[in-house]
Amino acid sequence: MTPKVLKGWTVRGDLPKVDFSRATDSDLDLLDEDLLQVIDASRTYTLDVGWYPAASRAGQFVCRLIRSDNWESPLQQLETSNRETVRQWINQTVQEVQALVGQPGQFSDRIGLFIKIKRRAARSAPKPIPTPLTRTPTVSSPVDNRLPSAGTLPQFARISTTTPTRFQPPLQHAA
Amino acid sequence: MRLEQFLFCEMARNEANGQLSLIGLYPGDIVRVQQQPQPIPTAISILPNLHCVVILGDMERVTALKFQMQVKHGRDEVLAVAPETIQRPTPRTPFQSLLFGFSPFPCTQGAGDYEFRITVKSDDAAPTTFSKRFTIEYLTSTSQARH
Repeated sequence: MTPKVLKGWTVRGDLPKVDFSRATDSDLDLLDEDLLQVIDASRTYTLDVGWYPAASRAGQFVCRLIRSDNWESPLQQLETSNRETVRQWINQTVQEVQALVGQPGQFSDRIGLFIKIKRRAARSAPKPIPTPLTRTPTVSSPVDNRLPSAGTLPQFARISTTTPTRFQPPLQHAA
Repeated sequence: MRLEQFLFCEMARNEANGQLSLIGLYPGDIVRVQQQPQPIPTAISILPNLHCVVILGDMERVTALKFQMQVKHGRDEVLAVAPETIQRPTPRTPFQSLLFGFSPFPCTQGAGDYEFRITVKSDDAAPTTFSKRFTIEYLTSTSQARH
């Protein structure tokens, strides 16, 4: 397992995958005290992983975070026999070290408070504007309530496309 | 130079002997702040007080320090403070504390992840940016009672 690190970092070694239930002596020989080292780009921080005692079935991984080659006083130390725990520690510690050493930056010329206005979503349908043409005419003296066929619809009833128009037959005056 | 601490709290104050007094320290990498939803969706919500404390280490040889604080929401820059330069007095201590106080802090983008970025430049070195994120989360009365 090779940890994912940023450009400029150095990775030496690997974490061997050993199944302890079926491991032979030659498999256990892969577990030594210098398994993996990850060094950050500034050469300040070192993540070191080893197996102690080396090649021992009863051993465990010892993970250390070292600053400025001060091996006597590690910033962090983790002891576990679980390889997955080691993998998680490496990934988390690499992120922590990246935050500690920072990244190349630059000063900004833009000074102040910048407000980005969130636009509202457009309405799905426009609100209809009532016009005299869409009003329902009032029938005061019903003479003929039969609905005309489509071909005989008066012209104004087809104008509105947003609001259904109730059609009332035009008034007819008795002769 | 390296980052020692990047903290958020409600109030921070420099003391005479180089100590810092912090009130209302937000623990963890992600900070959740109790803030009622705004009655008007377009209104800018604010935190009454927010202080950001940055402590830099390995500063014994640094004589002058230029620094600038920026706040981002996603890719958008929402706030930028003018760069400042300080001259470090002698004898020089290994640590340098920088305090940034916002009273109030405008959460222009409402709830979500904000990234505080501080860019520092010591003497002739190249500028370096350290960043830390915190989350503003609106908590309803129900979720507050659960806590």
